[in-house]
Amino acid sequence: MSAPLPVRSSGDHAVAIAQVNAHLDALSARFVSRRALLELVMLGLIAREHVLLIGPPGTGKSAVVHAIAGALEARAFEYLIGRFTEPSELFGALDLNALREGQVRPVTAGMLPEADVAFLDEIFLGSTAILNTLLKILNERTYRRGQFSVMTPLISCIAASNAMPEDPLLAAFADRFLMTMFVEPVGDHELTELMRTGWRQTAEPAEPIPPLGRGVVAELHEAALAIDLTPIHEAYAHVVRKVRLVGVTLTDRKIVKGQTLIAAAALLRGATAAGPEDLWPVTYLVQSRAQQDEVREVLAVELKQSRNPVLTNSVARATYGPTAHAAHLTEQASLLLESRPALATDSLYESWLVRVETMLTRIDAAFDANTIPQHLRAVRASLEGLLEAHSSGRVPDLTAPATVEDDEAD
Amino acid sequence: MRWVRTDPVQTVGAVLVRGPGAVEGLNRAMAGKPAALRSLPFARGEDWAALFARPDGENEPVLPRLAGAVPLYEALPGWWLPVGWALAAPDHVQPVLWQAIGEHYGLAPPAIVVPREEGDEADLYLVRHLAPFAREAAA
Repeated sequence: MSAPLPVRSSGDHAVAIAQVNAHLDALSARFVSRRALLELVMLGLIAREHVLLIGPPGTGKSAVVHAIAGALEARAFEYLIGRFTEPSELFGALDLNALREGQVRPVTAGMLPEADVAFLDEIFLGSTAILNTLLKILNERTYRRGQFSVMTPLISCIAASNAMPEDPLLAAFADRFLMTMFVEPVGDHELTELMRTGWRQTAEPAEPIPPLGRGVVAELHEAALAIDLTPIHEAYAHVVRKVRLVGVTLTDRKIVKGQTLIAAAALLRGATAAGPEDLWPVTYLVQSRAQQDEVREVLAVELKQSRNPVLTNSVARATYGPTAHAAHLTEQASLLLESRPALATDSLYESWLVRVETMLTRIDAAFDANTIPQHLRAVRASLEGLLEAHSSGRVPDLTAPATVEDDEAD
Repeated sequence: MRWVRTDPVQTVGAVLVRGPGAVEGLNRAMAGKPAALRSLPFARGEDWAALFARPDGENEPVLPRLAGAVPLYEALPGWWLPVGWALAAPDHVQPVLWQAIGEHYGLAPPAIVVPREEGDEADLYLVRHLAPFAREAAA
């Protein structure tokens, strides 16, 4: 790794930053609602860190990574791992000529050990042998087989899986991926756009995007290492302490490496020193969807100033935005439904109805009929139904438990 | 002064009803509401009325559900903005800016500021007297 560049200001990298931004614009125009994913992969490339994408099949994870790899001046290696995948399929088969001479030497040309960018789909299906070899490549950028050892040029490995592994050993492996993004299917309000974009691309395949130069990514990586992190050390420590309070364990390794992401974020913001605007990547250090939501909520104040003109969507997803707010409201509204007094004659019933009315006011302040997420919509409909039943004098079925209904009255 | 749209994730702490007959409309909407809501702090002007949330016993602050009302949050103590709007300035300068706004226009909080959809102007509603709705609205 080269020494940091101590004298250049971020202004010197404005052209490279603008190129990255334009590249992200061009790539994200090909997808619907995948800008944040593209941004996070780009952040991983600049920080030289690995990214884990978790989400159901068919959500465009592979397509997005394939598009990024294809639009980068780099050697890319992509592979869909299965339970029976042999290590040689990823790292190269043994060189038989060398073997005849008693040497163990794999043929790595065109394989993962010679790749700048690797995309491994269904990563957790890999055998122990594959994962152990990968571990060394991810951690030390070294491929070793027997006495054969070679440094790998790997900039970033992007891995995908349908779910986080429950096996503790696999979870420890997953921890090597500094950033984790949970990829959701495209939302209801964007389905039309999804169809339109998909159909357009079926009829007329998109023109290739001119590749982003390898030098651009390398330049920005070097520049990120020169970012002054002194101003945020205390704030970062405070953020980590708060994250621990909600029961999230961040390994020391992750906490230290997280600084690379903060530095890269500051650089792309056009700064020479990191500030409170750049702490948001901490959300992506967390490897559980529920805990990411919790972290967004608990860090609402600390991440309030988050800002980045290039990584706009990943900032929005990392901070307390509508998604986290909807999750918070859904949870509170569901608890409210569960706490319904058994009898309408109960003295607490009126007080409970007032809380229902307040909850509806809070929900309607944040979401309208077009933007309200499905889960919250269902809980809201239940609350509204109960309130209207009370107002109209109808007697709600108080023997039935208060549950979330599926109707979508608004 | 510039105002910007933000994600509407702020905690609603008050509601504002505007327009001719605002108070009468609020009176009608609040008729039959539980005492916990009818006793909420209330302020009124010529063509507006506002209700402010207050804890209901041990429970969280409560507010009525009013069709067409503007939900408000407290951007800084005494300064209320519609949910989803903010003063276009970094957090650390907001207290100074709000104070400067007050001094420039010779007013003191509490006040409700409602930015207009177009341009940088905002409508200002000064809260000069707060009293329980049930006692004050009919007056």
